[in-house]
Amino acid sequence: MNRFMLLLCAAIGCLPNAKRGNDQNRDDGGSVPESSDADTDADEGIPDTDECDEHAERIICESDTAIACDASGDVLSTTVCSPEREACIEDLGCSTCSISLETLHLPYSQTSAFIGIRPAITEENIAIERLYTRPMKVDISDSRRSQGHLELSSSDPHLALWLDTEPPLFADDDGILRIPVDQLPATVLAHAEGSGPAQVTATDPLCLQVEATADFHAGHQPTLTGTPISSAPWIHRADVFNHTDIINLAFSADRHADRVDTPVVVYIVPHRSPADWAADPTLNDVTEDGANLLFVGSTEDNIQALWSSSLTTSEDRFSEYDIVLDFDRDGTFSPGDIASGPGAHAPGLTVMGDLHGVGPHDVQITTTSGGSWIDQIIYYPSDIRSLESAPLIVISHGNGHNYLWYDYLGEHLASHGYVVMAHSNLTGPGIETASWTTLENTDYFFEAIHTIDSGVLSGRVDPDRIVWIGHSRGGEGVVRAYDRMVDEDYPTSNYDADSIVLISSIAPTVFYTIEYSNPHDRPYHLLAGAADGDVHGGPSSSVVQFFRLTSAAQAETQSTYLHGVGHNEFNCCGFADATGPDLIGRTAAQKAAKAYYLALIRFYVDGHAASLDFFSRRADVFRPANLAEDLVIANTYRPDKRRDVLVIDDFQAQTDTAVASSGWDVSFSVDELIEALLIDQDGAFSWDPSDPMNGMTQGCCEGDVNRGIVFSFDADSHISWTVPESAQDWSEWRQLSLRLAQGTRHPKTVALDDDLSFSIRLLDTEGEMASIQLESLGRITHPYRRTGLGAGEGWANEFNSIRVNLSAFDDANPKIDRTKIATLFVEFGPRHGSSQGRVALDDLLLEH
Amino acid sequence: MISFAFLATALATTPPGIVALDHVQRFTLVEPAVFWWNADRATFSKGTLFVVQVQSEWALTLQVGGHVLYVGDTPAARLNPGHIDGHIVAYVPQWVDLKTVPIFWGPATLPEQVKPKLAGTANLNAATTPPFSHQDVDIAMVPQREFQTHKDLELAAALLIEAHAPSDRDFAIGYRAGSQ
Repeated sequence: MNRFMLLLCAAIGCLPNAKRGNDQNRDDGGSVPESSDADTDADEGIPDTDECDEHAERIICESDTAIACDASGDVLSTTVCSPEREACIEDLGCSTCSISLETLHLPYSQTSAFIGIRPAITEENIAIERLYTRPMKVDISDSRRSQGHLELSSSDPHLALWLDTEPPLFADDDGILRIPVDQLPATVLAHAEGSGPAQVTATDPLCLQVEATADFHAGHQPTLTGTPISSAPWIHRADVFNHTDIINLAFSADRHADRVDTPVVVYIVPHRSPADWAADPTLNDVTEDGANLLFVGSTEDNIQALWSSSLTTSEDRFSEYDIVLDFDRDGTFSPGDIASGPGAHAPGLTVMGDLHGVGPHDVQITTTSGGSWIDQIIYYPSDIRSLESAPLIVISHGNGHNYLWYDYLGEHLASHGYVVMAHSNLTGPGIETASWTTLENTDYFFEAIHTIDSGVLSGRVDPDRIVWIGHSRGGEGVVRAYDRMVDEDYPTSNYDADSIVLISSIAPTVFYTIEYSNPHDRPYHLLAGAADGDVHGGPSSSVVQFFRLTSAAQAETQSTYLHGVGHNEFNCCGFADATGPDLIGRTAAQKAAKAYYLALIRFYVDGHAASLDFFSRRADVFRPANLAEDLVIANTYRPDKRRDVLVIDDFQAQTDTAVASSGWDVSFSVDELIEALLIDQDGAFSWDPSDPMNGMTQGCCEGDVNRGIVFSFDADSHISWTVPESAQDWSEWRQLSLRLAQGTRHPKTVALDDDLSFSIRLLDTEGEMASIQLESLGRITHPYRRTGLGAGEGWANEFNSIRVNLSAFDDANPKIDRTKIATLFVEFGPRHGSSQGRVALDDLLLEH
Repeated sequence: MISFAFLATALATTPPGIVALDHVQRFTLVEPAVFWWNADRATFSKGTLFVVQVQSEWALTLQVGGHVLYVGDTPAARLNPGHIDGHIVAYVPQWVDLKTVPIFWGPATLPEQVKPKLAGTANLNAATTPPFSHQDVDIAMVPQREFQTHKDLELAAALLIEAHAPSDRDFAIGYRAGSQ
């Protein structure tokens, strides 16, 4: 027997000189050698016409029978393969059919593996997206095979599969990934581009009786970090922290059930670009105590402190990090690990320094003049020539103020790399003149830039990134200036309306109706003090109701309302006007202004997403570090409702309390619910039942159209919105937001005498509920305890935005199906938060 | 409407508030300028620069509800707040005879909205503050000056601010931006 025959026999288990049994279909697949008689065919001169005539030294298959042929083209042996366990493979014989498909890092094979939703794969991003995949090992049991291929397919087209080779092997147009068996064992990567369950099936076209499957469920991977809370959802997830915070890992044992009891090493590493990560996925932890080894699954929500000290090396700046949960503990970011940040536009984790602190740049200050009312003081980084083109921040002062009075803000922002220009502002005559000086000074700055300090700023200030900040009459002036540009085509030479990327008003007047003083489509910010003794914000005068401007703004709008802060504490030298309790003083107020403006400008000018957290999250939960401890801040953030938002109810389009703006049905059990314009009717803060919108200063006058609801409660009660079938899939919405205020001087507000909390509950179509008590996300401030404008204590109704990550409902109840949300409840009362209260509510939104 | 009621109340209680005249100077402008402090927004080439001593509380430059300093039927252009030292440096866009035309505090409003022939005249007629005496004006009067530009007028006013309202020195410095 030659070498080939030995191989054949080894393959099919032949026995020398065994007789072929043509009719013997053996269940055991055993081979049947030809009889010695058969070998005598040639001896007898009878032509041999068996199956091997054309297949010398091969194994051929006839149905499920393997026929081994010798060198003479005679049948050497036949073997009937087991139909349940084997297939006949040409030149191989009976091959055991078995496919193994093992999801890596999956200790329990019966468990579905989670995959985070990622961007669709492109040629450009595959290097980084590869790292976000879930790998599977695929193989067959018969290592002798060299023919055929495995076919892998997914039940969900959102789950992309490819073979982890260089270059990668992708699925064919029919969606099937075909892997030649000679490439086995192989690693197949699964990449989710949409939510929902998916099953990957591996089949062998030559072994149709077997297949292997792996189950996945794809969803958005929530932020991995947060702050623990004492009730469901157990963690307030966030990816922006102050350097004074303790950072906790939040890892859901429900979402990641497949990882339960798996050890993992957690790395916090400096944020890197996708290209850098792809080139070098090595993990180097930056925390003092090094990478954390955790066993996930041992607690209800796997919350553990990761980092509690020395969060950033430079307290005045911010530091950006990525987080990688290294499940294979190989010290690299690799497929199967869980990560937040690598390859993303935003880092996985941002640590903020003291935003009121001096920045890294020395500051130069100079003055220039282009004539009357074109007087300017300019603050810029001394190393401006070595910096990228800087935006221009313009400061327009108020009446009786002076453009030299904003050193604190000009120097601060310049030290952080911005060019700041404060100008003489003709506020005495009024708003039209103030807007004129803002418009003209901005133009002049760019006109004269070649002459300022010998042209040091020339080519270093970006005329397409201008921020207008105005104080008081100047605060209305900057709004009016923009209005004149878009409504009246005010001519400018060196910039246009699109150049204005942000308008911010500090305690602005509102002399004009919103037809003339309107931020229109610009991002708008309001900074004001509740103890303002001048533009006081009360309902006794239309001119001081600055919240009207936030009502009029169409684009992203935020307000930062500081208790105990007066009007002139936002400059160095205006007279002392602060009126009310708990005054914090000029130094503390300016500290807050510096911090908030740095964050605001970083977000709107530089696109630094993390800075928005200081506006979008409640300030009692997250605020710039090391501000005055007793500073109470009411804050709102409303996204641009014209895009990326589903307005559930902003009370603008429907006046029927049973129907939301969206058309959804509304029901409620709270008391005294009234929907109307957010306008105080009697000009005083005293509670009067005939003025249910008492204390509202969101509007007053012609053109003010902001509407909302007010109601009371002193027992468990709710307002609910029934979600129509067409809108029940909330899986792609990221946040639910709404804004609320306490009704000033209302008996129930007086009785509560505290900040207010409440709950939100979701009910899906299967009856699963998830409820979140929102106190941990922030409370609704008690109105500033200032007296005046009628009997009692409490100033204007101050709205606070509450924003809930919808993933928190998954954390609260993993069974809730966010593709089938049936009802949204906003719940009040002792079981849900505060025992009683008077509340205003507006802008209930779903946000991306 | 609410704000108007607030202002009317304030007007009814307005005391004269004007104490003394410290400086009067007629001037001409070689390069005419716009007078922004009333609704006419007329171009002017001559005016009267003056320093008036006032009751400090009425000089307080509020954003809302502060009184407007008038000379005759027009709001004056105020060049400093003046409430700390009680002295205001201001001008009006014509040569006025302060022996016959009163300086007075008018009701709170935005000066840019005051039409001299309408609200301005009405406020003048309602004013109870008398003009200064001949003697007061004569003592305060200084020789006429010619300014090339409005900026030169501001620079002259800066000297008056430093002399009469030193607490408002920032305003004097401010007018000198780029020329120091």
